[in-house]
Amino acid sequence: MHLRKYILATLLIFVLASCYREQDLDQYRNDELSNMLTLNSLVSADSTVQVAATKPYFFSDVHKGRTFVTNLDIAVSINGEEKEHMTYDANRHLYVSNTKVIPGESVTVSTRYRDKTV
Amino acid sequence: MNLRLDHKINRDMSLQIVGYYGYDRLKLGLREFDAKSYGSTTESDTHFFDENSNRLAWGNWGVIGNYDYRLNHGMLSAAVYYSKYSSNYRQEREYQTDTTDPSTYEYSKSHTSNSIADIGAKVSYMADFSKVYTLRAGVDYANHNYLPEGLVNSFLTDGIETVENNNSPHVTSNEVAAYVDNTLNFNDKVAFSVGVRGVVNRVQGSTFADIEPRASLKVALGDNFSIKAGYARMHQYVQQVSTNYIDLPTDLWQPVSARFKPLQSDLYSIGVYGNLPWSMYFSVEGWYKDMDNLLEYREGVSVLNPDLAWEDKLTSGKGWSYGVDLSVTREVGKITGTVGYGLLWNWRKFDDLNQGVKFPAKFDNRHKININASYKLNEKIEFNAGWTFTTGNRMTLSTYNYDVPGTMFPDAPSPGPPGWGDDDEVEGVDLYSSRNNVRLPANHRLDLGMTIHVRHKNGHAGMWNISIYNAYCHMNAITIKKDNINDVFFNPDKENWHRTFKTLSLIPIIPSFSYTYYF
Repeated sequence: MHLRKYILATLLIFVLASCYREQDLDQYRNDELSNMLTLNSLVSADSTVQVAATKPYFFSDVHKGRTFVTNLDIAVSINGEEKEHMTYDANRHLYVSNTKVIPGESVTVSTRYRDKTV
Repeated sequence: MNLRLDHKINRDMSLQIVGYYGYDRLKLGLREFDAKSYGSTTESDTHFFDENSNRLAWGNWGVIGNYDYRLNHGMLSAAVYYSKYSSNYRQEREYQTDTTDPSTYEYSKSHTSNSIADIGAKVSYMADFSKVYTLRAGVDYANHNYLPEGLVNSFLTDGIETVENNNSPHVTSNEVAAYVDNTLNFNDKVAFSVGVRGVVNRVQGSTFADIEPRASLKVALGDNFSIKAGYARMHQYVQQVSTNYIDLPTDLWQPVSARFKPLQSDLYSIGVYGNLPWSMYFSVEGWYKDMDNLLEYREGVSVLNPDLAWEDKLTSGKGWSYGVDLSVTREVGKITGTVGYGLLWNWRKFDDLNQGVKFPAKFDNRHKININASYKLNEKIEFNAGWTFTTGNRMTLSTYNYDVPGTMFPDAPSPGPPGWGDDDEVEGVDLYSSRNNVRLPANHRLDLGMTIHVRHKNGHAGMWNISIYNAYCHMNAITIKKDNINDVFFNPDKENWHRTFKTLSLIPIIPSFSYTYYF
């Protein structure tokens, strides 16, 4: 009964008095998440295989640009056969290759990062 | 609204009829529409509106007829009852890009309903055969008719209305239970209680037969202290499952089915109770609760999908919680005060959730403190105050974001995969690490009240109650959201983007009063 009374009494107040406040969640910064590797790659028949490697960012951080990971050794494999190791293009912030693919081929990009294979 | 009729047939027989009805409604909404810019004298070229609303409605009604008959050393009671609970949740969005052009009016609406209708009968007998032995026994029958999830979605887009409906499937179950409890007071030093309840529940062609044993032993340690240990197994044939981090009264009650077994819990407890100097009474209780067949919504499933059966949205798992509760009460003259403290851990483990790894429950509230005091000024006026502190609930929040391809591949000859675009380019994708990974800020509030008893000339009594909920207006958070203070679409200066986490609080100070009249 008390709960019902309070809910009825707040029907209007709910709408008028709801409020947002900033909340510091720095305690949830996490070394593992901060250093997680994201590999993005677009593969098409008309261009070479390219890979972008970035790290996540803590949401409330000032994030003026991406955090690129530049020291990876990324291998490109086509249908399970390794073709080459990619090179890093610092201007484009991309790992690039000379490998072109044709439709139907299976493309794998892999690397080692923080003692794990990605 | 309550109505109660009592009729005393004779010295040994009496009859009661009780009816009740209660229904609550709540609406939250936001309407956006065009307006002149500050200082502007010109009308805007277009007129639009965009209105979002959330409507919640829930309540129940019921009637019970009860017959009491004094039999030998005890009381025989028989009752028949009917009760109906129902809830509705409506999410609606209506918008029109140009109010002068009716063809631009569109909407999307979702209506979720849930109900339980029970009809049943029960017979019970309680008797004190001597100072040593007390018997309680009874038989219950109930027919449950559930609407686990009635779902209707409707859309109006480009003048075409689309309606999706899951046809509101009902689930019916029949439940029969019998129980007997025996309490033995061997002397002033030892009391032993043992009982068992058997339940048979038949639903969707499946039968669940469950036994619920329970026992407790209380032993006095000297004149001032006693120790009590207990065990109880219970089964629950319907569970309220929450769709998100906020508990809503319209959260759906989901019954057991051929696929999901009843929730089974085993509660073990041990406590020490006693008197302390200065008119104080204390209790210390430790407990452990084991739960099986808990229900939660699956990850990645839309609860608003009418093409998915209600059972397909759920998954079952285990839970366990444990803690210690302390309480000290003292009476000094007209003042009575109680201080309570609880220390709690609450865990869940579901094969289909959090990659099968155990995770803290939403109500993993580590610390709870309650301080209550009442002061009886005289026979008419009484004051009371209560302060509550609770460690915040847990919720799932992505604290990190990761990048999507976006414009990282300027040479790509075709648009990128889903997620392409300026919005995702900057915000990235939510990265969820684990379930219930974030704890909300602690809740605390002070409630004050005053009760005034009055007596009318006709002899009937009345009671005024004046209370203040959350007296110091602490805005307790109910959720945390991620927020871009500078919106991407209206602020091209990305250097100044400021992202932040924000808590949402709803309930401020609430004064209220009520009057109760006793017929």
